[in-house]
Amino acid sequence: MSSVLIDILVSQRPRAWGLWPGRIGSLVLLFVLGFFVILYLRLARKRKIFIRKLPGLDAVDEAIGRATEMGQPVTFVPGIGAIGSLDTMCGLVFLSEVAKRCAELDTRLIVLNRNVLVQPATAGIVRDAFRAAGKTEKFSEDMVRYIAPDQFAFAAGALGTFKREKPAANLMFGAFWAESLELAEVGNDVGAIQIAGSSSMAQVPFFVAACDYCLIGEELYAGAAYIGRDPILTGSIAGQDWGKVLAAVLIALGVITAWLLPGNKWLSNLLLI
Amino acid sequence: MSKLVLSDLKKTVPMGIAFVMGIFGAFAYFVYTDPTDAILQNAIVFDSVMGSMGMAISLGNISLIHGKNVQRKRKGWFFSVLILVLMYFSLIIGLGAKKPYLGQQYYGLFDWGTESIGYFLVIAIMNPASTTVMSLLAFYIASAAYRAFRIRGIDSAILLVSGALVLLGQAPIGAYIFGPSLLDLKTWILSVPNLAGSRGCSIGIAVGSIAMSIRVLFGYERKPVLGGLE
Repeated sequence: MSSVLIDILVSQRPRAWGLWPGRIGSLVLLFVLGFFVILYLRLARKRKIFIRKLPGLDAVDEAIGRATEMGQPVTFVPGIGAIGSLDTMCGLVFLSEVAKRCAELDTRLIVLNRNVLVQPATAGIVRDAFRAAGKTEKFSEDMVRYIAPDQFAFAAGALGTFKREKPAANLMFGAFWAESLELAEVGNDVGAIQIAGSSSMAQVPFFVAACDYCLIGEELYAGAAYIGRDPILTGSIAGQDWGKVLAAVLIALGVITAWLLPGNKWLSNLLLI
Repeated sequence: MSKLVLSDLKKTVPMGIAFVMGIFGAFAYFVYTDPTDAILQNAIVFDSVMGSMGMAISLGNISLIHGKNVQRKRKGWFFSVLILVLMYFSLIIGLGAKKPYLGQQYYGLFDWGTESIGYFLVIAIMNPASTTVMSLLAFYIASAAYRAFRIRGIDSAILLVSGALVLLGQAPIGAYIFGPSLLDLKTWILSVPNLAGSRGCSIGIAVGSIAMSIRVLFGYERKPVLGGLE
């Protein structure tokens, strides 16, 4: 939040302290959803929770295996968002699993970064994965590359890397903007198996068109819980399904009230308290 | 024993900071007080400081990678020389530009009068190069559309028909050929099935992001916070 925005918000306050108007409904929904997620995280410790398979995630192993057989590298792009972005965090979770498998199979991994704070985090994750696999000597600093802070300078650098290195697998999980199509098309052009995931609905169609597998929207978050095959984390996916049930009930309630009581906005007013 | 304690601290301290700051962020979103504003203001400054430190690390990374390329005379090593020269040249220009230019918030350390060179680097080189790479999108969209619109089944056939209708509806020639009913059809496709699907995805993303935040905040998902400290 910028300091200018904070000043504007401060000037709009009714009192010295209190709850921000219009956010109480969100707070209640957050508590309800948080309850379900934590409940299922705890339930998953006691019993196995069934989660449907995501083909894109199963294909990650296949893609790394292909790169190993072909003797070509795997490229990984954790998006171009900031370190605090949830999509970037998902990208880091995916990277830890990908790096672990690359270390086990002795496959060359190249990580391409745009954000200056994501760079050391990705370097740490890859180094950690190689250390855990007992192959510290196989890790080198040029596996994790910082390209440029400018969006299209980064895109140009990444496209050049794809063309020069000819990866057999290109994995892109994180926050992407307009460069998504360029990365996916050039990855396709060099013949890489491509798996991508983004929560940006403006970029998902590009990934769907140009990649072999795509994690659409919330599948990115679910995938981050699922990829490590940790049964406890997969429990949270069941918890978030209850959130979707709640959203569906609210939508149905809204449709019924709008149909029976036209012009009455009690439900939306209630949610916007 | 002391090693064990140190490795535990390496994990618990970042997790603890992430938890406290995460809870504080959520609290500040819902509750307003003067101290929360003051902390938020400081957090912005802290973010800038972290960014500067990260930039120094990234500068080192670029120098290392391209330095190795030059040292080992790898294929295309000349481009690495070019990158290193231009990068350090821009750094020197930036450090010497004390007076503000191009609406920057941060200025150089020394008054070497390099503002005009900095201005030239951004306006005459950086911006056109960036725009050129962006404009490649036009060609990539065409090739992606070709692949997306190939009929492989009922789904892609529906995509092709609806895509063609929206495309014709957006272009002036569509209404000229098929009349205003095409515009109504385009508007309906965009505002009913398209919007419904998009909102469904948005609701899923909102719910998924809350679940992910809870996993990170309560330490179930440790990788994003710990990085390589595990």
